[in-house]
Amino acid sequence: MRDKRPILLAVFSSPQELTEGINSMLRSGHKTMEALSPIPLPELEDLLHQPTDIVRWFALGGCIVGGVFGMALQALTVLHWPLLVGGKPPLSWPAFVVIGFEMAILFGALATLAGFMLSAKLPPIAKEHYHIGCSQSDFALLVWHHELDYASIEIQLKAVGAREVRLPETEAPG
Amino acid sequence: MTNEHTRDRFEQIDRLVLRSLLRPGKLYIAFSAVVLVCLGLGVFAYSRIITVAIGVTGKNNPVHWGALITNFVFWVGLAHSGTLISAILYLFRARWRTSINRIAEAMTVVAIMTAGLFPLVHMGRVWRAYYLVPYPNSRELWPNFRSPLLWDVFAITTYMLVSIMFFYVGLIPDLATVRDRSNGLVKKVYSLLSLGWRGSNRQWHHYETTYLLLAALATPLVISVHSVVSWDFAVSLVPGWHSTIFAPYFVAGAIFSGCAMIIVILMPMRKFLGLENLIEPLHFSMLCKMLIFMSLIITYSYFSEFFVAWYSGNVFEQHSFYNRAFGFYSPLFWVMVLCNSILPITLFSARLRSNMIYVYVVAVCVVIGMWLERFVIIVSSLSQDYDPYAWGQYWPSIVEWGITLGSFGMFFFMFGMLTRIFPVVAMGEVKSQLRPGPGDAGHA
Repeated sequence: MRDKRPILLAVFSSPQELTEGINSMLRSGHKTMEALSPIPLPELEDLLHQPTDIVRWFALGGCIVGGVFGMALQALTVLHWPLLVGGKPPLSWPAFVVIGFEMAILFGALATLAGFMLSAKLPPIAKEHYHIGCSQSDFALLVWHHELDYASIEIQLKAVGAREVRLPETEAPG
Repeated sequence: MTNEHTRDRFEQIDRLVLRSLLRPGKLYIAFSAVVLVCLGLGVFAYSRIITVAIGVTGKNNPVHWGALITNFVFWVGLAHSGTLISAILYLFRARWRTSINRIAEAMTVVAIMTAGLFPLVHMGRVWRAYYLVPYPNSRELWPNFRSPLLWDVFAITTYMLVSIMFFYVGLIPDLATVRDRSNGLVKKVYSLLSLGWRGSNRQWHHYETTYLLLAALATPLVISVHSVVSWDFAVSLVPGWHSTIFAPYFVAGAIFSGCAMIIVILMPMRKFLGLENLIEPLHFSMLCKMLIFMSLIITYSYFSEFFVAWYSGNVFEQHSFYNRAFGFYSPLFWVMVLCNSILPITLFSARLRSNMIYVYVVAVCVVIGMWLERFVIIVSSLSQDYDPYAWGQYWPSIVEWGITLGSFGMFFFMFGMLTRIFPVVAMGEVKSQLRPGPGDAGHA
């Protein structure tokens, strides 16, 4: 996130507390937040801003490119030196479908992986805030805020069950 | 569930799973030594093909496909269960798969790598293998794209790469867990592998979409791969091979043998890695139900093949199937029927299904039965086709048995290595299952 404001990190013990914490922040007007968790939390989709999902477009594009590549590779190479094999015409489209299909799947999967890494920012280019317990059993909330609001946010988050509220570690994971 | 209880359960899952990544015990070292000896024997046997010639195998004219191609089809088949359990059951939202999907995926990756070696071994002159790869060359020659053997090259390579991607994407959150619980060089390695995963809502959002898309791509792929393998046979005119039922028949057989192999692997792993709390009798019961279902499909296919041969009135086809059931290879055929069609049906009994030793014996029998099925289909059809003058018999030579043993050694050695490097249970998914989900039938 490009927001230059200070950040605080609140650690919760359960997804329910985390959700309550997010709701509490939204009610008090803090809209820039990020949740860290050891499991996916679908209930956060409606609460936190989600970027446009581009992975599926990568998958579609990869499949189309792969399919076209697979068919073109076969068609152009047999036309380059047209040999009659097994009495079949050089352009044996039904026989070409198999390789065309396999290439569509392969390119689609590669593009999906590329789209995932790009949109999930893996590996991260810049260092990002992190809480080590979030790969195990902790649920954390990062809140971008104005410096003067720190005390009130801390009180609010502790009221909904935050175990600790502090400045986040600046190190990237690992 | 209270907050403290959730945390305790999450930490317990991490402890249970990550325990297997600690220093290997004596049992693991002994197991590795045994499988390495098998692998060594296999490499020695293969060296005979390289140093002498392909003639050291039992292959002859007319049986030019034998145990090596049997092994190829067998290992490709075993590779199918991983995608079934990971991708197809994921799309069907079968929540019970979470404890075993990682092991199934690892098995897929290792089995497809093992399978991919057999066409090369079968070629004899492996240094000519690059002829199969389409690349621009000075002679301007390209492979024959209409040949099912080339379709195999594309299908197996695609399946291997997609399986590795699917396996790796599923691993990323768990690799981050290992990273955060380790230090020193180990931490550095897992940091690289986990790609800086933080578990942010943005990352999980894209992760879920990616996993779903890869599952959706892998599902038709898994069906296409064994269909292509079946077309290696069905597209030819050999009686006993030239059949339209081959594609679904082979796919069902692949899933059948894969499920059996999963049971064969899971049961000792569960005991020796102390995963009884995560891999429960329910999982074996569900796998047994899949075995029964697949066994019924396979049995129907056997019946259908014989019926079509009889009903067609084609004497060559009829002889091929008569030879299969009552010819030289008939003992193998009847052992196959016993292992694949009769024993799995006994699992309809809930009492037998809950007897782990019995389930294990049946699973081992199915693995053997499915190897025999491929052998019987390949060898008996070639040994007696159209012209009695050209008939002949085949039996694998000691070199082929050695390579077969070596392939098992390689499979179990690589699988054992993977279980030491990567968490054997998808911890993130198992933790997610602790929360009730939509349509939850109570399985976790």
